Amino acid sequence: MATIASSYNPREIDNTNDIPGRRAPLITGNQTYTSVTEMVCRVAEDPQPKIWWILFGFSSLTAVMFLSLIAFLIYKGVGIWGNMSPVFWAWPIVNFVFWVGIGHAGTLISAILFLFRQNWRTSINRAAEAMTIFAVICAGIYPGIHVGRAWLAFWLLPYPSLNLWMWPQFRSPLLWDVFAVGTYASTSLVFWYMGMIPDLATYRDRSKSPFRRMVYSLLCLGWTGSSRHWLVYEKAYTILAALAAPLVLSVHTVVSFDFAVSQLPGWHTTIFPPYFVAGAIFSGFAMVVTLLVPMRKIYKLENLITLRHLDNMNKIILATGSLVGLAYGTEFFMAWYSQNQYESFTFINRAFGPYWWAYWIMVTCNVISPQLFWFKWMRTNVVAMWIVSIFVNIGMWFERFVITVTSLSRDFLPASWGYYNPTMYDGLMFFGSFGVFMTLYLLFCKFLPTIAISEVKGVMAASEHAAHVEAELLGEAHGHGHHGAGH
Amino acid sequence: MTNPIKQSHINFETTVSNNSMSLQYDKETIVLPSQWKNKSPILFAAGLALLVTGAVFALFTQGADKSDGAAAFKFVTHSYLANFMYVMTIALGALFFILVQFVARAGWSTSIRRIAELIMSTIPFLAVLFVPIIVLLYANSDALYEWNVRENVHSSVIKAKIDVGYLTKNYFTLRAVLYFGLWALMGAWFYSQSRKQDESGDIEHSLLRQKWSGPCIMIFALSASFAAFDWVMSIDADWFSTIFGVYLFAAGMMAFFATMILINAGLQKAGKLQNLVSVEHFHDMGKFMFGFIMFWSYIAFSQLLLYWYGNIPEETYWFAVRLKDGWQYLSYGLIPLHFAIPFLGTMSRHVRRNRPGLVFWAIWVLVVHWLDMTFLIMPNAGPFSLIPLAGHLLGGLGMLLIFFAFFLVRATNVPLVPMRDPRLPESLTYANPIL
Repeated sequence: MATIASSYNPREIDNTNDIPGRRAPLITGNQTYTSVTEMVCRVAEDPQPKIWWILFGFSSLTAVMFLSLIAFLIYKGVGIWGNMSPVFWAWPIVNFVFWVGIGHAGTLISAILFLFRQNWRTSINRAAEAMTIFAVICAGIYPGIHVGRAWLAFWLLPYPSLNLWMWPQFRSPLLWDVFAVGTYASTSLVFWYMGMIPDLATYRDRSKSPFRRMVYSLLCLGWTGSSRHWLVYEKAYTILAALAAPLVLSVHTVVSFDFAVSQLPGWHTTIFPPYFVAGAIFSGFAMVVTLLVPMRKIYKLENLITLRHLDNMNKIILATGSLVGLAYGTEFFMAWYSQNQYESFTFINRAFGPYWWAYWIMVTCNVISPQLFWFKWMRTNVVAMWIVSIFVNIGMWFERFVITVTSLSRDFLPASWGYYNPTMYDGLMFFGSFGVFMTLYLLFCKFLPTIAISEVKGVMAASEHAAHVEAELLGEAHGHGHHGAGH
Repeated sequence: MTNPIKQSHINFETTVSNNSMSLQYDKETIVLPSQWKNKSPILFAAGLALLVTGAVFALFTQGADKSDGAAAFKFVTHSYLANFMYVMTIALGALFFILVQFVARAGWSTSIRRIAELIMSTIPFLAVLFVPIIVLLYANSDALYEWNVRENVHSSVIKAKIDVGYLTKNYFTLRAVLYFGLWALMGAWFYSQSRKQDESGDIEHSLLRQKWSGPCIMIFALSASFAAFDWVMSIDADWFSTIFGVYLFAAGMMAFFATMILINAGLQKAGKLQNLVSVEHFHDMGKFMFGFIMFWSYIAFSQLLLYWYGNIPEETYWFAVRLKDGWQYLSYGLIPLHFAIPFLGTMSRHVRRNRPGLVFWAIWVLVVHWLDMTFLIMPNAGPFSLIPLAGHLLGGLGMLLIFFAFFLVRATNVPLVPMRDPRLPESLTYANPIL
């Protein structure tokens, strides 16, 4: 513990600026390899703080409520939801798309940023990947229970039924979704697990109880850290990254096909695939910020998840938020340019019709609020960025609500128009899905390595160099430089 | 005791730029001498001659085929636009590349960045090449843009867009001036900052560009999307596709990286950029080219699939035109030529690290980019006929020569590498991981 006491520096160090020609350190506090291991391992080894137990109690209760409501839904039928004619697709699909979207950040950070040699991914990729998997689990629940007869949900899988020799409808994007999300979930899981193996071995080696040691031994598959292991590991990691990178795009592309292959105004537009992908990355990063800001504080990880990481994520939020804004604008423009009266009506109806409030919540949260990240003090102020990230989460949920509900509620036939209202069950179940998500995430913090220890060590600059740069960042250049050897 | 690491970083605000200057390179290896500039009028003249020959050839052959002067003229105007977009998309790719390097504070690309800056600096010249199109509009011709003569327009959809003033020659020209103005301005400013840094080595020039790159990308995204709608999509003014701007962007980025590979390889062959551009840079440019081949395929497929699946006549007829009268060979041909073959060909790192292999695929990509522009634009001029398309091909070669002549005007007598950029050492020392 002595190592930590000397290396942990709770002060927020602004390492967001590179002086051109000189990369600022990615982690702060004059860390050594030992201190990084200590910092990460104690998250799982020390008793959890009180706040963890409070959060865990609350979210596991919420998760139990969610599971009970699912049981009730299966017993009673989907009629307990607000889904009605003509809004047959309502919150269940909104929540599905919301959660799948959030599940994009992890694999983007771990695969695409890896291929782009973005070293800053190392401190955040593990938590983001974990979050991805939990979000995809939440997403997967919704189509499963939305089918009505949930016990027959396996019909989604392509197997010939024994009596009728029937297959699922391969021309339906809903079936493509089963494949796309299934592939994504399994690849992300393998990628996440494989990346954890060296760190699980560290956990194993540090285990004090035999039981704990046994579990981590099983999980780390006999990792010894030999150079041969590392060689194979690095190769597998690169190959998995290359395989996972197109998946980041394909999943939300296929989700967008669910809407865009139809002829419904507001859904049928060619920009949907890249626009959905941008939106997914946007919401995913917002959720990562939402989770990491409190987490780094609670577990004292500010030296590993630094302002630089948060600043970079906020820049990505700004970029993808603006892309989403560009897509909204392009859709609106093209609704006019196409001179298609249905298309024009849909968009005017979105902005000024009965759901105007949802539309403007969406625009405010998704397009306007991330523009605050043009200001550096917004990008580096943890409280401010946390609030914006919540806004983005809200906005991205509303985006899916606007797309789904406004288009369905007023289609070609005015006689069939309606106004959708969710029921108590819609609300409680959506809230409950957060319970599942948070429960899993809290368990992850307690039992698994929350930061990729070995990868962070890989990008640590020569410590003396880093110490010097940090001293300069802190404005202590003079006093520090001379007795720098002591660190 | 002196510590070499520490010493080199003391007072880093001033010493870093000096550190990078410890790189001493022979002027010969980083500057194209004046005789290259002398070649540019010859190239320009040759390009122009090809362009005119191609046009005349097409005019006669298409005319003879159809015995219809109007159809032949229509063919020539479309051919000009297709060939113009062929090089314009590359220049815009360069502009976007420069902006992204600064927004991402990239280090790897520093030693190849000047070449991209020089490609980007041809945008004002390319604006001059757009003038004939404006002249065509003011000559009240609807050979290229059917919306230009309202009396000949039958579609109520197009009439509505004319009547609000959107598709009219004045507003079209105004928007074109705005797009070119913004691109030229951004390009000129980023280039001038880079040149100033050549003189002073001041990191301030890097910081300034970093600061403005973000807003400039926003401007770029908006203007490039709308330019794609205006210039290419509106030749068929009934048709619309929200992804169209992204499509041209993807195509342009892919062709830009191919151009970068060819220019860098060519300069090295001419004895320039030795030890400054390495196999690592080629490897990375190859990766980006590969990535954008995939991205183009993704965007093109998305557009096709969604319109095919929706099967709404006012959307699908655009594809129907391209899938009949002989155009189907080109359209279906793009699937293997623009996607499957180069995708498999550039997938391997061995190819990307092999100079002749990479050059081969870069040439391939530039050819299919031309085919893609032909696919987008030429079917609107009438059915496929091979002989006049030879004239169109000559025009494409001519446009490429003119583009290269413009590039040489910018590239002579300036350092081909930003020698005092503080991130140059990083660019010279990085390496791709070995697997």
